[in-house]
Amino acid sequence: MMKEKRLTVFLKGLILENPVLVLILGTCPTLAQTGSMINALSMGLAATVVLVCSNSAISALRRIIPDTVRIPCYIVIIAAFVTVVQLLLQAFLPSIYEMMGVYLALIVVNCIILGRAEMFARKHGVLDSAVDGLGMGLGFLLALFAMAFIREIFGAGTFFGLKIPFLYDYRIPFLVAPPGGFLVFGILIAVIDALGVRRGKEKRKEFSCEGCPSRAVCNKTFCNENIELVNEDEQTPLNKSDALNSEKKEGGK
Amino acid sequence: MTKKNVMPVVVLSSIALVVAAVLAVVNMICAPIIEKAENEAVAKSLREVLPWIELSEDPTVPDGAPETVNAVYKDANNKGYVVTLTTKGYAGDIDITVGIDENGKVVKALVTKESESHGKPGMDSYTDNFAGLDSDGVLNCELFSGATVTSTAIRGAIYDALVAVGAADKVEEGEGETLPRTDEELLNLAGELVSENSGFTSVSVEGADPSLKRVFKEKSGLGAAIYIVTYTQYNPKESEILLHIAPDGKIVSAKLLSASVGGGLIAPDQSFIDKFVGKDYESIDDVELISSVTYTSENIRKCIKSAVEFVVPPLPRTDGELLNLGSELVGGGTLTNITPETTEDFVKRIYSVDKGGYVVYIVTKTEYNPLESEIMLYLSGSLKIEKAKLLSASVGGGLAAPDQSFIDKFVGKDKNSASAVELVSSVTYTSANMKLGIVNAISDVEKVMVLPDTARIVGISVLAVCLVAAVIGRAVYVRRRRV
Repeated sequence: MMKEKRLTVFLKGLILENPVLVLILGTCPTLAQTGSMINALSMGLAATVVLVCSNSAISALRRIIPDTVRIPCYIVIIAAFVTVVQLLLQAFLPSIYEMMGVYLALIVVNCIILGRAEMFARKHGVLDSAVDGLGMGLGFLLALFAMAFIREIFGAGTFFGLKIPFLYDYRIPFLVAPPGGFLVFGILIAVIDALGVRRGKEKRKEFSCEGCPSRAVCNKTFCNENIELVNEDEQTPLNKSDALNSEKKEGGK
Repeated sequence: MTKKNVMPVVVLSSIALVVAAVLAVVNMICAPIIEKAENEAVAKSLREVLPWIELSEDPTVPDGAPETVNAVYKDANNKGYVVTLTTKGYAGDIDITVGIDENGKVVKALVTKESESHGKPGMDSYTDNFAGLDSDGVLNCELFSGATVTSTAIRGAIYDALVAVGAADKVEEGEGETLPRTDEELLNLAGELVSENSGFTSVSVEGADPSLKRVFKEKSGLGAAIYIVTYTQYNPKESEILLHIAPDGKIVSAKLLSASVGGGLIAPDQSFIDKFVGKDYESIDDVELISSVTYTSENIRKCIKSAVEFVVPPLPRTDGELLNLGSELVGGGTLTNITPETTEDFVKRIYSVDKGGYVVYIVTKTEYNPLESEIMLYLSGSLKIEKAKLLSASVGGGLAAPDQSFIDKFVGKDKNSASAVELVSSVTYTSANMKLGIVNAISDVEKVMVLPDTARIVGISVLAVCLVAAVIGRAVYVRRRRV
């Protein structure tokens, strides 16, 4: 049963809740690092390692970290893992390190990592969080690779840097440029949407008002976006009345 | 202070401390490996000029080293040095790396960065001349005809590298030639002569005609102000002239600062100098001399011609001749000169043809300077070589120059396939320069033609892609609404 649950968690990150093409997170490295397949693979793998490690660490510390400082703590932990990956790449794979440039350090502020920490790791066990991190990371990698595949082959006429004889002469350089990246990204999202991956599972935002950046200007007591509720796994996410009750409870403290 | 307020601070601080400790440990493990890899990367780049160099310490700049020296890397086994320098060329800075062995001889010199204008030498092949030379050999190494400023700068920089490692004596600046005017006065006069200038940079005149005393290059591309001091009918009487020469080699304005002849003769005046305005290298000789002071006026004319030659070295053929030859090559048609201000090595003129395509005129240096070879190409709109004609070829030294059959190998080729054409084994330097000139010609035409054609193609592609994306988006939206 637990195995099936973990398998579901893993597969969700891969396809159903693909962080790039379904949740539309981490678009900055997606567009910047998909000009070539080597770049995409490197970025995907680095992000996966950081995601797995940070999810596990945050899950292990979830009962210790108070709610009020959870974001700074998550960022410190994520930054630590990113720095470790940076140092290891610089020492053992300097060519990959040079190729990734500033985007390696930018993994710290990648929405996918902070988002999964907030949405999953802080509510689940270490192993489940690690599996979720792995699924999301590989989903990120797959999406990046799919984009890089199209952009490099049709935009640059090369495959992993090797010229493809016919395509190289008729390449479309526009696809390698930023506007072309946006276009490929949009088309891929449209394709995933058309395949029905995103349909029917409107998710509710699962963080409290305390963590919401719009709290100061929003006068509501619960977040009523995406109000179609689903039961996921054995979790019962907050419904409207639960949200109201939790607000009342916090108000009473 | 309640537990509720203290706990977050304690937890965050503890996490930060643990993270710092972990990072310190990882850094301790990785730092030596990173340092070794970085040193190895630097050493790899330095090995291009000194193949056996091993680095064990940071680069230094010795006390008293010439200003051009950026860094001196010492070999860990004391078997030489690599010196990096930056010197001023004709059009900007030139970065050079020089490898020197333990005996104070140059192993190899490489130009790593430069932005010199057309007419410059093939940099790599010029610096090859310094391999194996000691300080005397470097000082006596010949300059490159047609690019004296650039080659003087390179030669000076290589000598500075030898000075920096103690393999040569610093050349003390002598008292210098005493000119009738100071540099400050000359710059002010240049400022008055070249209207709307953006300031000047001084250019070395080493190797130029002795009458050229100062050359001030205008910073925004208006040309150069040249100060000439000529000897007059009776030495040591002098005449001083200041010229403004445009980048295309035409004299924009000229001012006679002073003239004297002696012997009771009347010196040439401003009206004589004004006759040179609007002239270029070919038409300067049309200016009539003053019959009463032919020596002085002829000297002035000769010096002005040298000044123009210094700023813009002349081509072997006139523009009129080139237009006719180009029209003949394409089988009739009107050519329009579209040569940009700066071109790649050996590319001298680019013409667009009214019926489509481009004609390019190339002049390359041959095995023995200053002999030259001339090639004319006809490129199609897709940048393939339709026709190629060898106008002239000479090598010297008793060697047989490449002939039309070598040039014919380039017909039908584009830039990539032209680069793969085999050289003529007996005259590799000349044939390599010809190949480089042809490849550079295609590159230059690509730059000149890029905007109109590429913009059209990109524009149409973007439109088509947007249309397709809009249709798909609309279909998806409609389908979702139905669901």
